[in-house]
Amino acid sequence: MILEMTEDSGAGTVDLGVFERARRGDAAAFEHLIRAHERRVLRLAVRLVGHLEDAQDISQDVFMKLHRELRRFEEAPDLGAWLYRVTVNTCWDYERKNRRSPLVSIGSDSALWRSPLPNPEKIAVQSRDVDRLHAGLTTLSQGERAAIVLREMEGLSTSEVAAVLGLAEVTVRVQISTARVKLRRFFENTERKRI
Amino acid sequence: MTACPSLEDLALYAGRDHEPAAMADIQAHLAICGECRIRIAEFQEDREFFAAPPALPEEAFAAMREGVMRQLQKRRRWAYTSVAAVAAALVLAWLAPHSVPKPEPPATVQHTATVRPRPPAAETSPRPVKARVARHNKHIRPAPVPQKDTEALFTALDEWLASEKRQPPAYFGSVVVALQTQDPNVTIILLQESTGGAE
Repeated sequence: MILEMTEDSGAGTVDLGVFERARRGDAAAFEHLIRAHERRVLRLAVRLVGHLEDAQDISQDVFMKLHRELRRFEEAPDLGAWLYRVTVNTCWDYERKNRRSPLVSIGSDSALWRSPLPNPEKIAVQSRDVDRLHAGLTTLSQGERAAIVLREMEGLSTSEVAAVLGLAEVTVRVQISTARVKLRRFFENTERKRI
Repeated sequence: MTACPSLEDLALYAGRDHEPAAMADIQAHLAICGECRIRIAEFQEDREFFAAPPALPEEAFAAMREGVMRQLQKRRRWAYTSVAAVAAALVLAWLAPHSVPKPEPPATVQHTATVRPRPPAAETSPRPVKARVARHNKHIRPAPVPQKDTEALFTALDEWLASEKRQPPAYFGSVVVALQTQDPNVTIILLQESTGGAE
């Protein structure tokens, strides 16, 4: 399975020359690698742990791991899948070390990083939606959360999710369907309470 | 398919994640079941809701990236410092034997044995000797002298010293060297066991 190495950030595709230069210790080339993948890593970390600052720390760890591992790659790897896998594992390690329930402190400051638009009404709506989504994600197990985030938010297919998480595709299907049902029930309950 | 599929099956159908055969069955069911169609619509609405990526500000990415580059720089600096320290230690280790003077070999250890005092000097002896000190080098093994022979030896030596003869006394074939010291009461006498010639 090869995930696209092109990022939606406009950073463009990482060519093999950049990868090779980064492997040889070229700092500028490594920074280019970071730029190409930082969005997917930070975005996934934010979804999984729910704290921007924690997600930034996790993303830094992920790229430091990438830097350490670069020389061990015999050939240009599927960096996208590798980074997804390392990000998911680093998030779980981070939660375990900090013994903190994930996704609980989004709270009122979530609007600060949710929308760059200075429209208070829109910010309020987005903030409420995001808080709802994150609250829903807390009802899932780690495996279900990782599967649903990779499938729905990162847009990977079930086979790609299975490859990233190192699971059988049928297991991932079960996790995804369970997560969708749990989230639907959670949203129904919160809607009912609001009414 | 007449019975409604499970919610989990509908959830998979909504994302087109089911097996092709199951997808076809559910599709056939949806044609006749309005409630399941509503369920599917809700799941699809949820999916659209999930799919909106978090709009993270550019500063968040820049801060993260700068953090990584800063850590790498710190690590590189630390690596250079370590290499320099190891190199300095190696140079010092190489220079040390050349700059420090070589230690002198250990001094020869001397054993001192005090020989019991001689019996009162004979009347003929002009120089009474009270005590006698024999010294020998560690590496020279003194010949074991029986106690009886030692008595006789000292007697002979006393006689020899008293006579002031310069010829050593012939005694058990030993070679005798007498060294006069500043103190007239002290004479150093060296004995060497005869290696045993034909005589």
